[in-house]
Amino acid sequence: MFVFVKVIGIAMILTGCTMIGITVSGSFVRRIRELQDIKSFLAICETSMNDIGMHTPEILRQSQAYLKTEVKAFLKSVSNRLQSEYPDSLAKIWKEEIEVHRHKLSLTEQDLRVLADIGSFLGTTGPESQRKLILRITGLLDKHMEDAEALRSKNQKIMLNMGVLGGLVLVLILL
Amino acid sequence: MFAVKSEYDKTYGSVLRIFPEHIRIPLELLPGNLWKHVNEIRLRAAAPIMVCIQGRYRYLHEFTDKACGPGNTVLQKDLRNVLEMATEHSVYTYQEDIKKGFITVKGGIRIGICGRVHMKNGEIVNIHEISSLNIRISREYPGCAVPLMKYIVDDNGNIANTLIVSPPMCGKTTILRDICRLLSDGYTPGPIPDGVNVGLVDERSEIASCLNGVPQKYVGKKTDILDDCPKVLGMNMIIRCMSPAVVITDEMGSEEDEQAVMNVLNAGVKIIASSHGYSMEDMHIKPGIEKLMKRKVFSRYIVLCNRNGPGTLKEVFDHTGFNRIYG
Repeated sequence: MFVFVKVIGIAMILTGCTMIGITVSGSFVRRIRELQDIKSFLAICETSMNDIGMHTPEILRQSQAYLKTEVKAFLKSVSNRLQSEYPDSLAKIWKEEIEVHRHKLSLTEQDLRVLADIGSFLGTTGPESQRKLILRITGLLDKHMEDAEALRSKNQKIMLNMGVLGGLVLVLILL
Repeated sequence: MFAVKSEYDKTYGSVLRIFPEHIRIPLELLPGNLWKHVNEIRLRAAAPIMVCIQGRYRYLHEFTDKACGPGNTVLQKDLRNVLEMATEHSVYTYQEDIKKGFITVKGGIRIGICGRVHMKNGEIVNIHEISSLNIRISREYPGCAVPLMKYIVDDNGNIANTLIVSPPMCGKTTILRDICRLLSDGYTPGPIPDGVNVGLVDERSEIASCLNGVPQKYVGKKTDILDDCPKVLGMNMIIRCMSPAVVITDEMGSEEDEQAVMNVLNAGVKIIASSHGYSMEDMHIKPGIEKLMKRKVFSRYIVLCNRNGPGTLKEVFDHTGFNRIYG
């Protein structure tokens, strides 16, 4: 009976640590996907603003269909708040929603600052200025994506292995 | 004076929505029925908020104990916020209008903009560092032009070429809008119960207040609108493309307008227009109007004033511009 409990315990520790490893290593991929979604959102913004003259709340609503990550949930929250009877400014809503979604997103502090930048200019200037700002932010996102990709290739496997190894070490210590 | 009740509730919501809380709440708290009579709200950076109630300017903080911003003054960021809210967080869609100094937003609200003008190659490309906003609340008073129709349409249904003369804030545009509606939809009892095709050249988007092609103010079922189009070009275009029975336009006065009016008349189309002025004497100093008066183009001159509130009929003159028919 005691051996059975031990085996179960070891299995649980190993599974738990491996899961932590998978989650941590997965966050590298999620970050890249989220950055890609932000970039896609900006591309939609540029087309919708310049070619169609679509209003920002409509862009926020329609762009959700093309996104898959937590960024979609973030934009949905912003969009919903803009529909209220007396909405705040977009910059304020955007900033507050970043705080709400901060822990669900896999973005770094630097990524979040770029995301916050988007909220501060979106819809507040003329089309030419919006286009230039979108271009600037897209450039920054490209840089962040390169960094994220480098980090992923460097750390993803390490984190996964660390999870498994950490589990094994813990098991050995407990034994 | 406008006697018919307006649909102020629709406008009320659209206007209040654009203000930050510390301005919206004092506006909501305006006593009694005052809100229904607010024509303008003026926001100037570092100055108190002013409201124009039936032509009289008052400070908003006089009506409420609630502070309307720090020291009852407007901050520059409030102006930015109002513009952002009014444009539904989409300033870029209004850039061309901002260059002209005003925008027309949902609900037919017109916002005049002042600030630092950014020029490029001798042309205005933007207004930034906004210093003041004038929010003009135009309202519909269906039926306000009915007492005037007997001077514009005779018993046989002939429409007279008419010039509405009125000082600012005396309901010139509101009257013109209702004339447009009445001629388009027809009115009973009257000589044109079924209405006629009306071509509306709305140079400053004030009459129909079109937004995305949809008139925010009702101008009649048989009205074709050339929105945001220069009058001279618009008048020539609309007679060719829509063959209206009557063309309606606002703010006439320049020499170029004269030729455009003549083109309208040569096409067998009637014209109803408005012009800024306190009396018929003022019309003589406007080159375009004076030439048209000499040629006896207009059969009726209707002068409005603010004596009993906006839209008060002051005088009506015949084609000579001297013989008074009313007043």
